[in-house]
Amino acid sequence: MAAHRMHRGLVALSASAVAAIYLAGYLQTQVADSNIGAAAIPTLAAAQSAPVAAAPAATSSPPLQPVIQRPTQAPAKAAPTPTPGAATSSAQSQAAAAYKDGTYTGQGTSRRGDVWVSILVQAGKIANVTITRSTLQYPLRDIATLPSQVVQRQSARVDVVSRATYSSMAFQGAVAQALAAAKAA
Amino acid sequence: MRTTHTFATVSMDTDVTIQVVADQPRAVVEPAVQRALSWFETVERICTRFDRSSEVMRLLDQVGASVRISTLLFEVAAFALDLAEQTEGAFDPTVGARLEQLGFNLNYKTGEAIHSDDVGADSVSFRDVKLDRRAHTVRLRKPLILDLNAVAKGLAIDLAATELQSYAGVCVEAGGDLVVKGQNPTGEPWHIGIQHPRAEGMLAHTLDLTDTAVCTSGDYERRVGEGSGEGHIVDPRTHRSVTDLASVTVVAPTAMAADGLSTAAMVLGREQGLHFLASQGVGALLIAPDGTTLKVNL
Repeated sequence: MAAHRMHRGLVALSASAVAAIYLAGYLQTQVADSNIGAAAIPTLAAAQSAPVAAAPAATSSPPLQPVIQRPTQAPAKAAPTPTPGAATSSAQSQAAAAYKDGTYTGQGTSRRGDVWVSILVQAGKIANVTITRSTLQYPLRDIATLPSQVVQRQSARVDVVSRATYSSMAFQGAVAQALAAAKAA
Repeated sequence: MRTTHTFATVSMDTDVTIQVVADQPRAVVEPAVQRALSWFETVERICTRFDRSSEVMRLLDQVGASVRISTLLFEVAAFALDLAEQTEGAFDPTVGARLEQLGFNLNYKTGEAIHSDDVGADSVSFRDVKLDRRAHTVRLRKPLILDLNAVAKGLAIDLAATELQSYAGVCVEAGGDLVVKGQNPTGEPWHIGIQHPRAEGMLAHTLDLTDTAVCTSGDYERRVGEGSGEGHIVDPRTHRSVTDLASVTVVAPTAMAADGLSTAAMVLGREQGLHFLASQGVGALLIAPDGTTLKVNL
């Protein structure tokens, strides 16, 4: 959180604002004198713990490099940003063969409806992804390209999406669930 | 065994998802995640314009007076006003009443519409809000509604991520704005997709990053809905919806900065937005309605 000098300082300003607010200790007082903290508990919906994908020795890649070094606390600007193309293609080779053959289904949930998918794994690879059902408020054509993207990437390779929409979130959730089953199989 | 624990909830009218990569079992991680999530409640309680009893809305009861305010509200307002000043009003937190008039006035929790009839929507600007850092006070020179949404959500994400920073990996995501720390579930930097503004579910770009925030503002007209104002960006200077850019993604050390700067750049448009983001030293991806993509520091 240390101030990282930017030209006109908005980034540094935001960092010191966050630190000041965090240190002001709202949470202690809040949790202590009301039920707000406790009230948050039941809202933890849709919670699931998935085993780490790369942890089992099943992967064909060399043994896990012990923990990658964090690229030195440098904020955004200095952070290494490999070209997206490279990232995606290397992802494919690594993620391949991580799954057991079979057909797996998954369901993803969003505030605007749910999506169900079916994933076919052949020879350890994702051969096909189909949206089997949807209760989304939006037309399915909105996410029509997603299944082929998963086949291309060979996983829900993207950990998180900036500005994901409800439809795509539900889809990603469904794929993640199906692939978790494919791994556990 | 190192495990990824995923938690999801709804706060600040948006889906919040927290992933924690940890050696500890879920039961051990969960209390910390609850603390992280309660930051969202805290920020919302203080900053929401959808509840007349929030700290920011209670300022309307003391227009003209210097009012001592909480650290949280003070810092959020200070950042929003600095951003307004540096963009010469392209970003302006005093658009609250205008948004209310446009119909972005529903409290998502209660479904009730808020009508602040005593507040004029026009002829107010960020210059009508005066902060005094030494006295920790704010003074509204005119009746106005502060819309802090564009920075408050980012702030909540930052606070939640700070709460969880001791774990091996953390991803806090709310409505597509996010902070990542440490490693992803496979021990690598986090793989972050940037939603394409015109093709739902398509990624415009992917980034492998850690210890940073990524926020995207966009017109995403389809998602404008139910009166929340989400996805709706109005140029405070002209009161028109912005059209020059379809989306702006900013990569910055805090979500508060990334959130605010991406909103400001949407309004500034291609050329000025690009220049502004470069001058702030942040990374950015700007996508025009025709698909033209511009990058800064990425």
